[in-house]
Amino acid sequence: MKHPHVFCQLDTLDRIYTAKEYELHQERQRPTLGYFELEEPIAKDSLVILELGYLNKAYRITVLKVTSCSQVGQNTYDVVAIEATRSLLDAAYVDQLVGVTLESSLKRISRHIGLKLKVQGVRTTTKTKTLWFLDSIRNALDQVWLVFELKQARWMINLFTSELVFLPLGKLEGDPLEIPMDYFKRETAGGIEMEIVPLLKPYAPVIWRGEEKIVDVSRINSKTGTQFISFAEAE
Amino acid sequence: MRLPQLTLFKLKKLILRLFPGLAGYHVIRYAKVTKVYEGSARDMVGAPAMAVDLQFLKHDFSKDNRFPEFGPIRLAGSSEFVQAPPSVGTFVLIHFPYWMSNTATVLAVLYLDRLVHPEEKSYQIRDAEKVKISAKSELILGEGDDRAVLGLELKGKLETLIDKVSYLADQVVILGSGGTSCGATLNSATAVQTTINLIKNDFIIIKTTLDETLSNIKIGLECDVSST
Repeated sequence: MKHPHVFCQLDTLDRIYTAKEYELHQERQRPTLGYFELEEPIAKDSLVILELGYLNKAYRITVLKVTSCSQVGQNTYDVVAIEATRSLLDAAYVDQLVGVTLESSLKRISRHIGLKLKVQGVRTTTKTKTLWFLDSIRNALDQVWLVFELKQARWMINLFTSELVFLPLGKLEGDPLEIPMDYFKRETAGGIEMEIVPLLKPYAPVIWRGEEKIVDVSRINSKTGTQFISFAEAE
Repeated sequence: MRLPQLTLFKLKKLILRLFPGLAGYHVIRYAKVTKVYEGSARDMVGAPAMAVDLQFLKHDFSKDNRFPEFGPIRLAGSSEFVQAPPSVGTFVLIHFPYWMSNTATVLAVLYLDRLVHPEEKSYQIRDAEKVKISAKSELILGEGDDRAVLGLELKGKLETLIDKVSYLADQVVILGSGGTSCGATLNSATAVQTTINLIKNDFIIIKTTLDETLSNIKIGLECDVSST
């Protein structure tokens, strides 16, 4: 099976910028980071929808905020953008939550940044706790994970639906995707390298060599035409 | 394209991801008590009964406006048998054991803004509105010849005394009824005399005990212990 060309574009809703080259770093519970080579400049602080696609079909990945745009050659601009979840996670959050469960604490945290809480799968019952948060949303989430002793569970922010999604098993629902061996390049110490497949993104359940795994990190480099994938470690 | 430069700010964020407790939970802070919880209840993991509300302070004891009043926050004591919550306005030390967001605990009370009379080798309970001391079996004051025991020892003597008085009353009843024969009356009279002598001895022992106990104890508002 011939691997199709995977294009990348930034959609401001007014217009679409197609990247000549791009690098993406995606990881569970971290904002996506992107480097793009564009033919035209794009305004700093612009919000853009990151899209990856092939065979004329584009898939919306997430929303990025442009943090810098610098001209590096004639009709060549280097653009750095980071997922808009960054500003939500960095928001200050100093609060006291008395007698909260895991779910009610997540609800309060998500409400503070204008998100709804969505719990995937079976709801987890926990004892109530009193929590004091002293820093940021990001830190509050990390503290909740510590206090309620969560292991494989993960949170995910979906900016298209304005949801904080609690994933008890650390992965998206649905049947696992079989990683196509046709696109496989090589195995490295930390994971595998393959042709770029936009659907292989963090939280996705996949089948690799007969075993079900969860994509933890995805690094895409269009210049080398490779996508590095590492899987979540069992906890 | 260039590699991103790892600035100190980014490094700090990465460290916070690895050690969320470093976001301020590791700091032992000054705080000021704003409310004291009263009333008896069992102090529970999720619901501390020995607790206060407080306001975090900066290192110079000024109010730290980044934080609202928090509480109820658990109080630690110097002993499980001493229950002495600080009063409103008292300065305390607060910490989050294990650097976690659910473990806030008041570690100690500071004497800031208090008139103090420290005396070496002296344990003082001063200026409290009320001092309550209770012991489940014995309350021992002093040591050696000055040792005084309040509690079971005295209670035991009093119980023996009550038994003897009760026996005496029975004998007096028999004596009053004249007995069924001359011999019975004589026996009751002898028993009454013996019991009265025993009771007298018991009273002397109890009086001596109380004299010894109370002679070294000064109780009451007028008692000035600071000069002794």
